Amino acid sequence: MATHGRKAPLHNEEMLINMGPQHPSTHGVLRLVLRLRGEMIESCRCVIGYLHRCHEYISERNGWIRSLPLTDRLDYLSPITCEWAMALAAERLAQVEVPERAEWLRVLSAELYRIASHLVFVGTFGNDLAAVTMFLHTFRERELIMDIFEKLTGQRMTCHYIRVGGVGWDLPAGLDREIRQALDVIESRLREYDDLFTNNRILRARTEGVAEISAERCRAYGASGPVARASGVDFDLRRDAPYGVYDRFDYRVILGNRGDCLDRFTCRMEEMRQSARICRQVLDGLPPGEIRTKLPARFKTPEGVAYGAVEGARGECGYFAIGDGTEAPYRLKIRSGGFSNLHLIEDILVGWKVADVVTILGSIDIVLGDIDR
Amino acid sequence: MAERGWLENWVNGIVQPLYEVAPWIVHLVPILWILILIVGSVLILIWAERKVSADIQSRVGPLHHGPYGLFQSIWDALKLLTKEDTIPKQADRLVFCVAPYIVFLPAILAYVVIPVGNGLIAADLNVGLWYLVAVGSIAVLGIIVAGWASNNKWSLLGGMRAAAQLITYEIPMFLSVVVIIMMAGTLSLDQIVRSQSGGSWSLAPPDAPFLNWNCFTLPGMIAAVLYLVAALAEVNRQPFDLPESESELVSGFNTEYSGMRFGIFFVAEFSNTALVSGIAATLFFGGWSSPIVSEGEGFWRIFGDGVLWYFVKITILIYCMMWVKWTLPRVRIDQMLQIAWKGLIPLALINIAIAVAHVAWVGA
Amino acid sequence: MTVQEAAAAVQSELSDLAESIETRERDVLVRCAAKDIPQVMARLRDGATSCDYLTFVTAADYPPSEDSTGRMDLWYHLRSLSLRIEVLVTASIARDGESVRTVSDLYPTAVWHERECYDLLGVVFAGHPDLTRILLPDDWRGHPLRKDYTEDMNDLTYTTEKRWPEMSEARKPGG
Repeated sequence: MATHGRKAPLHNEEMLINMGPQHPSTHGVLRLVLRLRGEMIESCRCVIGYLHRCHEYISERNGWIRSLPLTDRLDYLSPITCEWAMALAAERLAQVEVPERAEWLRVLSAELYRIASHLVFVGTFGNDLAAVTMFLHTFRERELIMDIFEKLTGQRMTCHYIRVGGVGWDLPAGLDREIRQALDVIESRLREYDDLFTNNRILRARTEGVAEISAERCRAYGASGPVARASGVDFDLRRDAPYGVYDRFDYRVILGNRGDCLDRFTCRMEEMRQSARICRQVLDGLPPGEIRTKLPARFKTPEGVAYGAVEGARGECGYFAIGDGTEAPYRLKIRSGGFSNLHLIEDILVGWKVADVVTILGSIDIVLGDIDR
Repeated sequence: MAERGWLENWVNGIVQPLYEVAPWIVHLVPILWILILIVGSVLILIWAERKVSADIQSRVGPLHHGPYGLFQSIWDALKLLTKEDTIPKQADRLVFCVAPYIVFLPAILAYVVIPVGNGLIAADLNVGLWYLVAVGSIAVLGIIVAGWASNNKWSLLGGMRAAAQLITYEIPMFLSVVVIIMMAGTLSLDQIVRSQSGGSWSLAPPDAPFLNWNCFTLPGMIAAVLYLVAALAEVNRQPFDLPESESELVSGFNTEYSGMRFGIFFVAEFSNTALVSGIAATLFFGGWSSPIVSEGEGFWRIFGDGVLWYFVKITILIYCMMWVKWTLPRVRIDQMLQIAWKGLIPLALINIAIAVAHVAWVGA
Repeated sequence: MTVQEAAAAVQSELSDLAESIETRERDVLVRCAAKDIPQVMARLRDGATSCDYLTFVTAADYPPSEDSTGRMDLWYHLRSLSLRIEVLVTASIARDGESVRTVSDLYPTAVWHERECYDLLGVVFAGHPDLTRILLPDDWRGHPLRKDYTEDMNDLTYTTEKRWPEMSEARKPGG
């Protein structure tokens, strides 16, 4: 730009750039409209809805039982989360008792999938930062969990394991030992990732101090899960709004103190270790019994409202249901952790560089299926 | 007159009768072998990159075409030739089409002065290093105009990053080369190699001639490390591949390139890798001189000074570069510039002072 | 804090504003008038209940039938992270016309939740900084989660000519 006069300031062009729905690092179909000045971001607008599949509408039309398999497709990296939340909402509305063994199996599957989801996070975070090897190594470990679920449910990713009133299948013989072996392998590889990646100077330089989010901002924006806990918000639904049998197990809730990208990363690494700890406790103490309560042939929920929320890998995933005495909820609202977490992006990206966009977005760890529902 | 290597004698045996027929053949021979060298090394390097990365990532890599997937690169090149040639609608057509060749040209030009073997050098310029410095800077221009001409904001960002990065990292690269010039006292690359194989700086005992190599002197060691780090940045390899950072800029400056134009960028990157490894081997690691003393005749002469050791050295250097690429994350642009300005350049300047002391000490 | 204690705290805060306060198994259900929503939320946030976390904002559509006029039920779910309590606040508004004041100045997360409410159910929040569609395309007609939404409100056949008329001109031969 031409500057006239000696005192005119140096004028930098402002550039409007579109990190479009198709991009290697937006973790799904997310559109970020960025206003840049040089490499610095001045403002950011999030455009979502590219993966909106009308789950709420479908559930209201199809009913509880027939739309439970669809919930796998929301947060497809840890499908047990949304399945459990929907089952919780139905059970709380209809006052259904879940057998003890089923509750323990629910915990086992949820924690195994939390490990799998965080492994994907670590891998894609590394991939975004161009440590491509991390991606392949963590997916190799994730395959162990996928194999376990394939033996348990017949499916790797969209497993439809949790049903209203219990779980779908019981542990086959020998899977107990395979799960323990997988946990051993994963824990040893986590130590390897710490050496290779977490303590890497370049990673630290790129994530330490980047995009610090304060605890007040997390609370104000409704952020939950590792994002909020890394900023110091001491809230974990498993401990503070208990569901299932989580109060029987001994585990630590991981808190960070600065809330920067490195804290979010290390929180998730530690959470994997805690999940492995919970899984071992479940396997050690699994009680015998039924895995599913017998429901009437046409399962109806009475009138009333209920909110069932679980602590997913991405935060609080909840189903708010208004029952009306029929087989389908009158209104089903899906509260997804990623939706509120992603809202933070519009604020925290300002002032950082283009190269930090992928770091920050990756550290929030979103899944667009969960956000757009 | 230095003695000729076995390979040069063999080549001469073929060329000599042709020379009697057509004297202009002697000018074609170096051009031909540079092209063979480049094309051959690129094809092998592409395969090697895929195999090495697969090994680090606990995968297998190409398997099907040829033994161990060796012919995969040829099929990939053929595939690139058959792709649709797209030029963005509003792109600057002339510049867009010329940019890949501007990037590829320095690789070919620079090979002219690299001594690949004993006497095997296309043109032994007595300003060889100066020529290398000059020619190596041309590639920067190609990347910047490729980013601009694509009419794509992401490519433009990649091009701008390239401008900052490549120009900045030329400084420590050439400052480290200055050290070698001081220690060898010549700009000719052939002479630099010969000085490392027991020339006038012969401080090494006769049964360990490799200790003459420049990397075993203090300033040479520091210069070698500086040069290799700066070379990684110059050839856009990770951890310094910001201009084409895949995960952020969707291929940066070469986003809009398809088909053989993209192929030329790709080939240029690999031939640049081989080139800087070759320069590093020549300047610091003794070029074609052998680390072992070999007096053998016939076949065993292959293990004497010559082409084999040049290729062994660049193989080791390239393997290390690939190893670094697939292990480390990428630095951010400001961190990268900080590494150069606050780390490498001061170190290079201090190294020149050390080299002055070294030359004075050895000379006395 | 147990649910009973939470109900007592809510009662002390909202005794004049709430139409009814119900203690349920896990949460406290507060029913109030739509015009009081901002005040109710402010008191719940700043008072003894210290509900600093808005989980979601949603609505349920009750279309008019022979025994009732239509209404839209708003639902807000609040949590107190420190006291570990949940509060559900509900209010009724008319399906069209009357709007409710936004709570996004109290809880910034409501910006997106209220946008979703508007997008899918047509609830207009007065004072909202950016009340545009969030999940559906900007040119969508109708609000799908209303019970009187029909699929013929939007032409879902997707051709280049319809979506980008200027591009289909360019693709014609000679264009």
